Amino acid sequence: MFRDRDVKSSLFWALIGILFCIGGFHYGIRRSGIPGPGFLPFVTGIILVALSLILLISRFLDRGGRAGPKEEPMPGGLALSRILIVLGALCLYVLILEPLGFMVTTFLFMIVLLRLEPRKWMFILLVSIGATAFFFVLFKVLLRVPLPSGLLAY
Amino acid sequence: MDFLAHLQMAFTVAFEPMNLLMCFIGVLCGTLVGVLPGLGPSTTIALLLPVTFSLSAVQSFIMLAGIFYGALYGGSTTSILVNIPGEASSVMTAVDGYQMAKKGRAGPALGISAFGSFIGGTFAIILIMLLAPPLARMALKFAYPEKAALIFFGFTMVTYLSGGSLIKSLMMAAAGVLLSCVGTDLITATQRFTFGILELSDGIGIVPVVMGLFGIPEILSNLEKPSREVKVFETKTSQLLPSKQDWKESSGPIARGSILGFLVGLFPGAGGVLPSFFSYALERRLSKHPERFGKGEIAGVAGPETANNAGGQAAFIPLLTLGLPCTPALAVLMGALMIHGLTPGPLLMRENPQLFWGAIGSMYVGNAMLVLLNLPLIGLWVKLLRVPYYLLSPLILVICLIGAYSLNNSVVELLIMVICGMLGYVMNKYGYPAAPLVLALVLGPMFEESLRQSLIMSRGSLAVFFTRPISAVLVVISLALLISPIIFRKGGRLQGGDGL
Repeated sequence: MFRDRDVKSSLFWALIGILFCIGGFHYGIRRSGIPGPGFLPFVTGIILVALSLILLISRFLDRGGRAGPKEEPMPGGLALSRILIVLGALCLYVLILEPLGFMVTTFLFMIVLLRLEPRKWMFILLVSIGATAFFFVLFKVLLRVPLPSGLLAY
Repeated sequence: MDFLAHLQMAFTVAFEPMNLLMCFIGVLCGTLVGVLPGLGPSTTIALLLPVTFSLSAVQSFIMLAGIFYGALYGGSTTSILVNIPGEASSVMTAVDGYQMAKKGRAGPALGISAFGSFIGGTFAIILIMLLAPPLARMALKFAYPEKAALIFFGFTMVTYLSGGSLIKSLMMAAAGVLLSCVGTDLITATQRFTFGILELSDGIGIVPVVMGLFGIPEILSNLEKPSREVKVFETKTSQLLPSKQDWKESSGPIARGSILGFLVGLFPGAGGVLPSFFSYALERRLSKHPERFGKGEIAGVAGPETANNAGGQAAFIPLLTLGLPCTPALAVLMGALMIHGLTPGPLLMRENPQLFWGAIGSMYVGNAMLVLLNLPLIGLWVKLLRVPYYLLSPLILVICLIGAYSLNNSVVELLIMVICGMLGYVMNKYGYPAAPLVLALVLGPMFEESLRQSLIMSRGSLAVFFTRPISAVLVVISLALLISPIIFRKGGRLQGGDGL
């Protein structure tokens, strides 16, 4: 299983390396005898591909398939669904922040994250409203961060 | 007499009321994030970076540096009281500190770690004052080949010391360099990998990347487990002072920890965890009762905590004299200085003595504040730990989102953060360290410039890096480090951070 992960990730990074190599080639590796703008991405891309291949090959040679000291299993079941919900909420935040505005988006985001575990709706609503108001006062009023108003333009 | 003149200048700047306030805010935030798991110093510095746009460079540097070393203090509190290291650097403190707390000696453990931190930190600052000027003078002579070799050496050290698989660390450094290529090319002004997105022409910012790679994965992995109650030992502040016997047992570890921590902390990449690991290993070897380690030995708290702070402060030397950040948090700090139009490096001391010495003065002041602040406020920090994580995590995420958005008022930055968050979470699970990527991202543009300028100088010949003595030494050491695991260990796996 762990071998499988190294295979997957090394192929991913090799692909990234190849893409940057192509880009670097396109921008020009050499211009009139000296390194051009594509030089570093091209060379580093090749290095990344080479390292990925070394990882891949060492994974096939190393039949033991032991996990590295810093590797953890991916969560499954409930934990995985929580992670996916949070990531989904983050993506949604990015998408709706400008059209709906900071207040509405943050309020909805708070509700989703607090609902990860079953809790009383009253509690969730109160905390979400309180947190949104707190952030609004702190960032928009006190620190003057220009947050998008969206729906609640005033 | 130079020393005294510098000291005077340092304190004059540090004691300006606004700077004192910034220092206070910095160390307070630092302690806070040190206590809270799920929010590290690098994320916090990244978060508060937009806030500093309205401050002067000196003020923002003082505040952000305060967060960095404040977090070194704060991490020990939670290690001792709840066995949850707030930061990776206080993992060793948890071993004996928590055992001391279990025996009802939480007070002396907290006390000795605060005093040890203070002594280690102050010792390191004095050495910074003594060592930084000659080092910076030496570094002023560096031309492009030396700079490129130095950054290459920095990459190598960081990948070598970040633990785990060396190949994966190297891959992350390469990925960081690639990401740093996004944006306008410095020499020919070509737009690279921007795909017509205006925000990308300035390059990928360090702040959203750091928040994504460090902040979000930490929160996500904490959310995997259902929320639980945190058990905290009750302590009274009156019991905090260590007894005479405690001092006797800790003075040796503190002295050794200061020196060891400082030396280890000077190496790029070693700043975070290694000083305390080494100190713990050293104290156990030197102790007359090695069997007591792990069961609540005060030397096992005093040494690592001291080394941790001495090492953290020492990491400012490569940053301020060579422009080489040793840890992700310092990389963000460097990014902050660059936003204010300053480049950390040998010229900083000469061109901005106010900033350089003011920052160092503020470190003395900040360390003193931390001791005064930490001991009486331990009760408050412990209460903070009782805030359940299901409440804390959405709040931290919203702060990250606001912070990323406020950089340029653009959703692009937010998107970068979220993508890095997903990537960082999976990278964590798959054993890819994020630190080399972040450092490479910050140093990438400088590396590229010095590399290409060197090659222009030499008309494309790589020999230029080997004919100049300083760059030759740095490149040869780096290459030796990179090749050594292949010779000594098949498969290139380096098991770092065992400490023994």
